[in-house]
Amino acid sequence: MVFSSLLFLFRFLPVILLLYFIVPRGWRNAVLFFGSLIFYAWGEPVYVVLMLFSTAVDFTHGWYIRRSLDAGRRGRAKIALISSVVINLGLLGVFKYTDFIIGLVNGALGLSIPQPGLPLPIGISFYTFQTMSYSIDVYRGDADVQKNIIDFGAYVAMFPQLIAGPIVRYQTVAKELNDRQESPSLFADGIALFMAGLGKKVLLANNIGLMWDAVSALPAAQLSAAAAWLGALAYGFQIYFDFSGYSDMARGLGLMLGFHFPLNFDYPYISRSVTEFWRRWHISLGTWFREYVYIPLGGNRKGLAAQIRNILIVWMLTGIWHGASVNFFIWGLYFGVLLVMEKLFLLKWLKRCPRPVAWLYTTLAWLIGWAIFASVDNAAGLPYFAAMLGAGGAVDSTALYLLRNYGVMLIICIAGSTPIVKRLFVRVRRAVGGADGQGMLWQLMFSAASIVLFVICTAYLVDATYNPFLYFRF
Amino acid sequence: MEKKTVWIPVITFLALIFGGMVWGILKPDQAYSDTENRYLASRPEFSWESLFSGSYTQDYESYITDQFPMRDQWIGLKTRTEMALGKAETKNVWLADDDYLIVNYPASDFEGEQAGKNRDTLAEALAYYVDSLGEDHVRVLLAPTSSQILQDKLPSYSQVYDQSQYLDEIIAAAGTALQSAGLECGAEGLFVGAKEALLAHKEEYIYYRTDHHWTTLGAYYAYCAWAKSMGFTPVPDAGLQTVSEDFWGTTYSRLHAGGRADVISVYDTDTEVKLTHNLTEETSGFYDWDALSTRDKYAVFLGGNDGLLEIDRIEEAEAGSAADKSVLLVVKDSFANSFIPYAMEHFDRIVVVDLRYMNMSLRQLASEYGVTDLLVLYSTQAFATDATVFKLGR
Repeated sequence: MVFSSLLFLFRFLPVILLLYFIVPRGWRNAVLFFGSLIFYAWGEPVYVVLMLFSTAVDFTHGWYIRRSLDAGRRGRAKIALISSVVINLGLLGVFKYTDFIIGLVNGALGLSIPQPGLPLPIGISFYTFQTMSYSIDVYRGDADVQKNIIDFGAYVAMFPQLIAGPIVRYQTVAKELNDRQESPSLFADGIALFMAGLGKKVLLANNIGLMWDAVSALPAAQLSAAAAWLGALAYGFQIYFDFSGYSDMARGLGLMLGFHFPLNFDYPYISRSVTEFWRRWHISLGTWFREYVYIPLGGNRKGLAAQIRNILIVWMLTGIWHGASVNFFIWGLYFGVLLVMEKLFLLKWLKRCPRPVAWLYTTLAWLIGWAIFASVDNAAGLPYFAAMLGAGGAVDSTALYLLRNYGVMLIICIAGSTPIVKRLFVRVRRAVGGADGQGMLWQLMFSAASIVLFVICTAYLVDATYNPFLYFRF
Repeated sequence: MEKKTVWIPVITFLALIFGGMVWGILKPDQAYSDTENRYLASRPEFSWESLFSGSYTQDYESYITDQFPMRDQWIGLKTRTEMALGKAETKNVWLADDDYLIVNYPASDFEGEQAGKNRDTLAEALAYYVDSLGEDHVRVLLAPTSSQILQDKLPSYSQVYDQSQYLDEIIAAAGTALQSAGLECGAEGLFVGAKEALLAHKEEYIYYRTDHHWTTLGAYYAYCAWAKSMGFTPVPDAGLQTVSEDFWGTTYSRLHAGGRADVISVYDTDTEVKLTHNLTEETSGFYDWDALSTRDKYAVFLGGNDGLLEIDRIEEAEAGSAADKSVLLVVKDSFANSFIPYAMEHFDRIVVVDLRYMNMSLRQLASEYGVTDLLVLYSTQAFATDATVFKLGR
């Protein structure tokens, strides 16, 4: 099930909220756990077993690691930790990378080993990373062991962040899992975030996604440079508003239920270096790789050569985390190389040059990045880059028509990817909402805006000719 | 200390989601949508098998979406939002000048596998019928859709697929088929130049604003081109009589906003005819006036689409022997429905076949009815995409 569906908004969400708040506090994790299983099983009626398996593996491993540590047997704890990591990565490997690896082997050795073609379980890359974080946190002493499997299951399966993040590390929510305080004002904050996310996904991402579809449907050899760059821009906006919209909805739902999930996107498109971009884009994934891969590899503590190696390893992994396909690997490596270059010298230059220049460099970097990222289904990558460089002319009527049809949408997307809207929201709230931001006029305005946004989103969902789920490869 | 005002947005939000749920559950299911001309999804039957295959949950989502209360109004709200966002095109419909809603048929309709198959089927069928009826008695009329003719009304820089490309392919394929069948006639002359005929009148009301069909006036101009190519003298004017001024067609039904009500006119003919639908039901006259009081007002022409429709003159039933009767076989889609009353001026009998609803052998049917002339009349787009065109070759 996805948030941006009538079924979620008008069936699942009201029922789960009702159950959640009428049961005694001690039962809320159970409601969350079983509700989340239904949420997940709705889209994956078979693979839900896999998620339960992953949950059980890390629950037992975490328990064993803690017990071994308490008994002073660090070696055993380490073996259990390795076992947990191997099982989780094994699940990922089998269900996500088998076809890819066999394809590579076949290509390299001229073999024709059949590919099993297993469908990828939704969200597997998110929940395996979460369950792994638990075992590692327990091993490192960063988190207490969770003694109740229902509570642990609620953490893993928690429907707000289950299928598209943010990747919530166990230590982040460990306390709230057993001791959290829901409240009407938290709920109201949750509504604001959820509405913002729903609007981003349904109104902005789906709409600008149609523009990218229009471009990608054309043969790359026929694209003018303007059309190709507009296409990459549209794709960049689609993935940003879709992904950050999901994260906002997840965080909003979390607040409604009393959880504080970490910020996942912080206006990445205003960045003035690639280093900054990756501090603002999919923050929870970057944090995960930093905490569990980069720092354990030695981070920046073992000399420059080792640091460069570590950066490249992390970025190759980040690349293929996004999908089992060569273009994601290249995409990751591309950013790895840019980051190394920035580390070595570029960042110093960028700090000194005028801000617009640094911004332009960064924007070009991620636009080219998205063109690599998007060329997954075909070998259109190279012709597309040729078109970006002007192989098909500078401007054509296709490009002009795209601007004619999506011009207003593009302007809204540009504004929406900066902090302007949020600042406006905060300023108006301060102006009309009084010192505590809860004045009657503000609450009425906020409610009216919610109704308008919700009604328009509903209209788009009823007429859902185009409502893709972009993370089925993750 | 929390203020009580914080409950206002909370209660608003809860009212929206609970209200939507209760409304959706209480609203009785609707089986058929008049405006969309399709059956809406109904509540799926539960079975473990369908659950594990994932089809149950998918069907359930379609059910919720299709049965959402006030569906048409929501779709209209979406279209209005799109208009407010300055869109020139939504759901493959151009919001064109003069309140025209013009469907943007993609190139893939004409370049796909089906289009290729249909092209070859038609080429082969033409060779067969030219051989049996003679080249002067076989015609093909593929009507361009409004996007081809009303380009001046389209938003600036619109990319329109040129359907003539597909027509040229068909003519070339027909030429090859005729040649390999040993026939000496060229293919060019078998095809009626509908595009040129309509382009000459592009400023007139030849397409509906809110529907994909041509108007009766558009059909008349195409008829003139056909009649001349057959060596007939076309009736001197379209003889239109307005029968409805409140027609909202299929393109409007996609959007539920925009456009302007269309006017339906019919050819006011003196010819009295008897229609036999699917060999069983008889009606008189070309027009089914009852259809004007329904949503699908276009069904006024011939009473809609039948698999097999026989049209006979009432007063001339006794004249002449069966052998000298001229019988026109029309193989068609709904574009022909407003055209046929004009064609009746030149034939004793017309047999109309809609391959979507007819499963007999066409060759056998042609010989049983003593068919003397053939007209294949489709909109180019429907011809390219229809999966039943293969029956033309049977």
